[in-house]
Amino acid sequence: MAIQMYDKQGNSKIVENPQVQDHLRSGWKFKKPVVTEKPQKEIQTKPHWRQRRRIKILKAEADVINNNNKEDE
Amino acid sequence: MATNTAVYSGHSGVAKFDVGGSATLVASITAFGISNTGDAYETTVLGSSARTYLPGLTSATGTLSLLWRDDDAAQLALYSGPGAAAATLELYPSGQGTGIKLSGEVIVTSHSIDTGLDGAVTSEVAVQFTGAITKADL
Repeated sequence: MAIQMYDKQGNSKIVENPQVQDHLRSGWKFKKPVVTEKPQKEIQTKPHWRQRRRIKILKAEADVINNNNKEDE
Repeated sequence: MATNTAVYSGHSGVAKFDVGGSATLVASITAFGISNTGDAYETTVLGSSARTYLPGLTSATGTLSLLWRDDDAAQLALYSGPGAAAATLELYPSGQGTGIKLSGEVIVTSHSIDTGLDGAVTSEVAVQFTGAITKADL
């Protein structure tokens, strides 16, 4: 007789009776494992420090411009 | 654990079979039995009035009755037993908490799956012990 066995990755093969216990010792199972794919982590890319500094400067400039506008009025 | 002081109740019986080197509970077992026999070598000679014997070799066989389960590793190991090398069988006639444990190496000599109109799918397993059976108190 022979029986279907599965490894941890879910690969299967037919194993003859005399080899079944050896396969069990090697981690093979009778039951198909549930292979769950891990969800990929969202890659968060931080802006480069130069880019961040530029953004800050832009904001400051914007405020200055706004103040100037108020002074003109 | 203490040994029973009265008769055993069979409904607590447990059987374990070798699954890759680990004694694993056999699920959905309904009965098991073990039979230990010893040969008797005849030494009767002419002129004797009664036959005489010498004790000979001992041997033991066992049976397990199961409700067939294809999700149980121990049952599947028993299924794949015929033709395979000897594996360990442990029997606890009155459960694992009290009484005795019988264990030994067995060769699975037969495995059957039986189905019919009027009942659950069952399985019958016969084993031949190779070597002595060990009895231990729990």
